Amino acid sequence: MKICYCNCDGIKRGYRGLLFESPDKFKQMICSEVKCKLRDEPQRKNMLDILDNLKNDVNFESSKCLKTDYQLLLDNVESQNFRIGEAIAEVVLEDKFKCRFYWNEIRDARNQKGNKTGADLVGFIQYTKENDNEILFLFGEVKTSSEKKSPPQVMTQKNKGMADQLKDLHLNNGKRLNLICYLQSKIDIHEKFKQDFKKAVYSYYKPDDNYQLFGVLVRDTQENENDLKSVYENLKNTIPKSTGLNLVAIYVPIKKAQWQDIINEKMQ
Amino acid sequence: MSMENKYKYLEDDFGDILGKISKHIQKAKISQRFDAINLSEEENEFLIKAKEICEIQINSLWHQRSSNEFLSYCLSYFDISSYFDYEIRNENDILEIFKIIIFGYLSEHSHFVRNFVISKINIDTVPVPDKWNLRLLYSIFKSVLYLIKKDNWKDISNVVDSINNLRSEQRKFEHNYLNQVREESQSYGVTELVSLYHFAKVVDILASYLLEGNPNDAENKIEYHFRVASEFAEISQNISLFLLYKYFKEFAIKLIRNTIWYNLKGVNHLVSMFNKFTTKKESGGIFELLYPQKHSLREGLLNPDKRSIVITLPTSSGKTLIAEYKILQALNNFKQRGGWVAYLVPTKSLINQVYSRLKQDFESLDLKVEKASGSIEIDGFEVGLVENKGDNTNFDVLVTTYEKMNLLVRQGLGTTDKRQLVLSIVDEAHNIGDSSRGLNLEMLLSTIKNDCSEVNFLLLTPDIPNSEEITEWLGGERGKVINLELDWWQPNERIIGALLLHGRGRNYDITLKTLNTTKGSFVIGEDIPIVNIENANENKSQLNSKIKISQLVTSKILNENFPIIVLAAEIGETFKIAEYLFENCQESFESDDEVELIRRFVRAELGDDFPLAKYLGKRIAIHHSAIPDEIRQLIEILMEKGKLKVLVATTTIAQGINFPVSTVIMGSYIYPFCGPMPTRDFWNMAGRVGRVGQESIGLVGISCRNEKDIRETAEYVQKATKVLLSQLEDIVNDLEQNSNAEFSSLLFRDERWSAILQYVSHLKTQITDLQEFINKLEQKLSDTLGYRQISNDKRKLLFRKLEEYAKSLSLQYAKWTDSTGFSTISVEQMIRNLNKTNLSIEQWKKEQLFSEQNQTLKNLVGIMLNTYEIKKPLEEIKIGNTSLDRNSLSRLIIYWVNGYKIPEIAKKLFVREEDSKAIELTSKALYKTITTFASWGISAIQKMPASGIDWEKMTEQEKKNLLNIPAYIYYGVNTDESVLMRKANVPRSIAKEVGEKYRQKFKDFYKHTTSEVLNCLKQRSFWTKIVPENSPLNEDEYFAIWKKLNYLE
Repeated sequence: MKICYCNCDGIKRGYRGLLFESPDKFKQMICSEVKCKLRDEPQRKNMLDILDNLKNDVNFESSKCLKTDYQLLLDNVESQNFRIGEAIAEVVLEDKFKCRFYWNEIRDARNQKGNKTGADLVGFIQYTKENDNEILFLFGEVKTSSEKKSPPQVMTQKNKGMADQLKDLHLNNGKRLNLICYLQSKIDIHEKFKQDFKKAVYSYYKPDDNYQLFGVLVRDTQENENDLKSVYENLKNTIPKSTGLNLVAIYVPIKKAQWQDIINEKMQ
Repeated sequence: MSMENKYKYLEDDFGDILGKISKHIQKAKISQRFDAINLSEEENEFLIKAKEICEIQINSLWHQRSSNEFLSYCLSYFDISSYFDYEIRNENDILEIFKIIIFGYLSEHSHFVRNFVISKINIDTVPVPDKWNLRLLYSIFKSVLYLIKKDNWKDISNVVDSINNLRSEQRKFEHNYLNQVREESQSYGVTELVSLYHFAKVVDILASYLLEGNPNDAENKIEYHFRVASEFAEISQNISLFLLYKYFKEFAIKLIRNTIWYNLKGVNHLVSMFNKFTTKKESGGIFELLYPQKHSLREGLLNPDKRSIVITLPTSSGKTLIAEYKILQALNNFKQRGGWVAYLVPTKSLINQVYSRLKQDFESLDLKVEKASGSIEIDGFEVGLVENKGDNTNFDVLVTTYEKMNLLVRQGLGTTDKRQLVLSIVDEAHNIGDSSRGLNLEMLLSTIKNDCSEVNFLLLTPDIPNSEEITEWLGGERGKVINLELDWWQPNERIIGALLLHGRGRNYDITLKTLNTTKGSFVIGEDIPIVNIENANENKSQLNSKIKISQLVTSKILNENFPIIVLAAEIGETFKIAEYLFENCQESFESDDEVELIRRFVRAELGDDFPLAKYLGKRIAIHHSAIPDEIRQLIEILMEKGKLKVLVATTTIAQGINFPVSTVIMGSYIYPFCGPMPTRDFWNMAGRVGRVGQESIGLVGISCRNEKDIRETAEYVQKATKVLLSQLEDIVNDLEQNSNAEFSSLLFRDERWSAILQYVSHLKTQITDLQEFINKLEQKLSDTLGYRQISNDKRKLLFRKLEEYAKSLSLQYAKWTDSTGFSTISVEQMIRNLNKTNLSIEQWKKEQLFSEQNQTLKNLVGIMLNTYEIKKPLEEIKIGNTSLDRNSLSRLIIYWVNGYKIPEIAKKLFVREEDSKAIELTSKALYKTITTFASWGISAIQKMPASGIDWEKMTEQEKKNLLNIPAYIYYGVNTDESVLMRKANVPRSIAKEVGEKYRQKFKDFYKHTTSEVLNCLKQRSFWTKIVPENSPLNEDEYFAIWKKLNYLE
């Protein structure tokens, strides 16, 4: 993977494009690390029984409307390509930015439809600073787009676009706190996590908002600096310098439509 | 607990980020009380950070919820977050408030949570949006607020209705909502709804459980619904809801575990009946227990194996309920076999308070609650209490004072197999250490322990470091201490501070310097400006006394919306302070029917010139032992309802009074002639400030003249509570100096000897053989607390002295002692003096005795003035510096008994004094002294051999009539039926008229108990045509007053 463009204001802020040149290497990545992150969905279907039993359980009606919508949800979950985009983003961030995620555990915090309480990426990023490692909380949004236009709409769309979502993550203290607490609640506590968490809490609550925002755009199109440039320029004025702000575009050589089949090894 | 300890974990773990956060939190707390204290933006930011950190830490410690660290973070979270104001604009606001409620509960401070909900959230204005998911969330939120507030069962019942209402609204709102969200968020909406339905069900379960303790498996059900709700919240990707459910589940379980149902199901039949009853009360229903109440049950309050339990608990921790459960347990076990319970209180007003509370709480359980008056004699209506050693009685609970119980038990009440005293509850049991009445209480408990073989003890007291010793004294190995003075739990919040004057000339200000204490009060570094005065009438140098500072401060903060108590050193001072406040209060008050009614009553009882009536016009009142009990009680009612601005009181107010106080201003903590108030008394009083149910942090301000005063005050409030010591040691110390003195001289020096001598003489009535008596003496002395506490040498000395006494003791004298409450030495002296008077039965006729021309009473007063136990208080009645002579004293009694009003008596006796001063002196003489001591003295004289009364030859009725003579003095009336009325709290000014009606209706009224009289008097017909001429009150108003006095409203 090579850097195809880069504009950085220090290590914590800037934007850059990363290009996967080799389709094979990309395939290999999504079949191994990315696939690992895509845990099987739990048996949501069992939940249908709970819906059927609603009247008995809580004395609310198990309406037709509820059941229809729930079935829709089940159908939809099975074909969620956005999850692969998010997994790619995490793998790349772990590889290139010393980020640590607990993907399998916190998957449900992410909502591609911009649920107001969640975020796509929640984890830690490590910076080396004067012989010590600084650990920061990382909050981020991931967008996947095949759109030809640059920047694609997923970056600029009102409310649901990456720019607005990152702004919201910056402005909404409560949301970040919820994400931190949710992360804490969902992860089986182990030493590594505890260390990361403790350090991140300290950094987070020191004077100035010390955490890292990441916006990752996964593209199956030609690399183009305009994908990130204007969004970054816009955001850097809103989000203060003390807060890390990195935008990354990952350009992959295989079309989005094929990712799922590759992961499921159908292409072989 | 110091505040540093309260926030210790937060400060220790995050000091480098948050700095001295405990200071900021305390400042935030204090700023809620004082407008002059404001937090800077930076301080606010620190608090917001600290709050978030607390939540993160609470999460980290989620699996260690019983740890101190977890508790501390929950407490810190609650303290910080409850400082901010909240508007309910969106779901985030709701989630924030939910967290405050939940973490407050998890820190066991449900009472603070309730205050927070009541003071900061207007439940009725919480919106209920149309969008279905929000409608569910908002409605559930509202329901939870009602579950917290629950003024009575209706609030909870409304919650059930409200959840049912949501169910019926489902059809109307759900479809539209799902259609709407389908477009924008695919089908995540459906899972959110399902999760909310389960959440609603949980609230439904909580409401049912609070109401009736059902379903039995509520916790399992809650676990299930939250498991499902959480799963669906996750699928809907609503992590806020997921987190809320995680937290709320523990809150729900905590709430269940706080309920009376969870804590007391299956204990026994009476307890179950009581719980059903108490939850159905219109007001003051109890659904949840405070932490100390819960803790006392866990610690074995109801363990029948424990013979003596000492519960140390701070004021306002809900001790009456603890006592009630203990009573029910005792009665459940022993009622069928005639067992009964004594509830012993230190003051007459507490008799009324406790009696009416128990009567109301137990009436539906078919338990009979009675009270015996606070007089130290047994009147004609109470004689049944000791006839056949009380075997004819039928009450289940008797409420009375320590002194009265002493008389009753020594005459056999509670000692027989038929009517065993099975439980003695001693309220404010630290009075054992009281310098004047401590020995009496100690000897009472020793006597009960000796004479009542089935008795158990429950002692309720503020902090006693040696509580183990007390419980061991009464229960040996079967003693148990339940310490509810917990270092992390507080019933209320307060500041203790020094008030200091600054400035010069006529421009000065008063500031409050907050002081560190041993019992958790908030402190900030900066002084708080309280009052700023420019161009004052007085120069600063003229404000050279603590009292002047107190009254100045009070007059300046009078307008605040908090009731204030000003503590005065003595009765006279209360009038001075109240007068100053009255003169300086510019505010005019809207007329209030209740205040006006009580003002008129004061005028009816004490005359137009008694200044209290005018003070009340400006919402100022006085409270001390020279005010009639009824009026004190009515003032307390006004205070409780927040209708008074200031109450100027002596320290008697500290004992067990149940009204909210937000501010106490103390002229001094040093009693005149007695030195500093014992720290236990100080905290007993300070503990009432800012009590449960009050919104604002309380303030105790101690006036200081200079830096030296401040230093001394600071040291004083830091002092630890002292060990509870028997007064015996003090007496024996004196004996060491005067070991050869006669008992009469010892008694003359110190009337506390009387209690010891009476204890010994009571033993004599049980063991007639001299040698056996002497042999048993030491063993029985060892049954007292004091004997255990003093050194061997002192024991020997005391024993030798008492042995000497025992040898000279005759059985007859011992019996007289038992029936009179006077030592045999005094009895002997009385008899000697009586012999000189040649009394006959004729002279005991009330028309004779209380006739102004008759000399008999004068002679009897003369005898009383020579009786050690009552000599001193009678001599305290003075004109100027001269004590009243026996002539004046007997006139005072005669006027009083014959129904003269206080102003009339004042005019006759204190002719040279101004009207208001004369009234003050008269009421003080009567209410503080005559009612108690003269009635006691007369009652004793009646029983002496030379009294002219031959009890043996009298009919029962004649005996009763005669026994009521002392009661005439106690109540200030002159007929038997009016005595009965007074016992049922009928005001003195109409007792005669109401009594007459009662007598006409019930010829056999002598058989009536106080409870029966109370029930009858509820009929309005007794209250017609009873009003004296020119009375400021009409019939209805008298009736209303009477109902208030009996807490029948």
